[in-house]
Amino acid sequence: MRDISIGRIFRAFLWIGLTGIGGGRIAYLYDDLVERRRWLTRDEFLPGFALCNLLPGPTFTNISVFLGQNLRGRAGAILGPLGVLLPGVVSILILGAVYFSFGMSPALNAVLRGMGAAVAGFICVITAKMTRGVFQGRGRSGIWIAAVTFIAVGLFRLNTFLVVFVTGAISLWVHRPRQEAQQPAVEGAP
Amino acid sequence: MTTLLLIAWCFLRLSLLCVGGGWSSIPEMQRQAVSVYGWLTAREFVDGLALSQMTPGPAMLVVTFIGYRAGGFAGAFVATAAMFLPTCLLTWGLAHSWGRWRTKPWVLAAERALAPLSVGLMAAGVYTVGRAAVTDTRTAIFAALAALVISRRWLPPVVVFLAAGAVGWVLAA
Repeated sequence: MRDISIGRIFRAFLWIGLTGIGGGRIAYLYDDLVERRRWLTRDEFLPGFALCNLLPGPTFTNISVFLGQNLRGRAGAILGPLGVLLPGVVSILILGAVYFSFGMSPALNAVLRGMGAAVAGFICVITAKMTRGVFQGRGRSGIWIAAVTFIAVGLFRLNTFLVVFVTGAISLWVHRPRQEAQQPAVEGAP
Repeated sequence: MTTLLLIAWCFLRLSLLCVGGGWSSIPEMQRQAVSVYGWLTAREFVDGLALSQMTPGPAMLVVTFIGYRAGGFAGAFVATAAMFLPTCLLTWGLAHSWGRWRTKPWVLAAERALAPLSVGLMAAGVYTVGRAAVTDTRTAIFAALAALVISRRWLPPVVVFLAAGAVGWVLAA
């Protein structure tokens, strides 16, 4: 557990919840907690993300529980999802009330389209950052596993749970603990 | 009161259907909310999805929108809690144990094994979001400019999004 105050953790998740617009929301958590604040390392972040895809429920809140727990135990696990949800609940209630009174306006639609395109650019950048270094010291197998996952989920739109289940099992076998690999200094630390 | 119980029951079941991200539950959510319970029209459901996609927070907050339509603020609260609370508890159970197991060789191996999967999933997300959002030259330019500005850290992401929204609005007017 790290020495980060509960208030700072809650404010960080609130900020992510407030600024996390559009698809690919995991990118915001990564950008803020790993790249900017450096509270978590990439090696703590990535396994949690894949695990949360094996559990039922919306991934964004699940991973917030996971990261919050990593940061500050039970308090973090409660404040993490609460923080990312709160701004969204308030804004969807306001927008919802406006929508049910006035309907969807073309102006709102144009704003949403412009923002959506910028979000696509953003998550592309974050994914590139996330990828840097992941495949070092792993041989080619990691690249293949990432590529198969991308093709199955992205191109063929197969169910993410099934894909993670199958590629996860294969990847686990590839990365299984070997006797010689457990000795220190065989593989460099990430 | 019965409406609130129905809302809770409906979204609790739907939350368990969300395996591998929320989108897997959307078709069933539409069927339940529109056809079975008649809480909102099909058109309202689609607009609610579009709104929740572009408001802060997870896209699954469309349940707040549906709950609000079905039962006002109480309905919105019950729908949100039913969607997010049980699965958060489940994840917490796993996260808690995972932290304690982290010294075991198989758990460390699992962490190394899962990292490339996450990268693949993120790349799939880029592709899916990109295909939906980048539909013509204008949106392609928006996306490329945003990527440039954000990767150079000239501006924080949220400023870029708001600027892109404003420019989109000006160009459409």
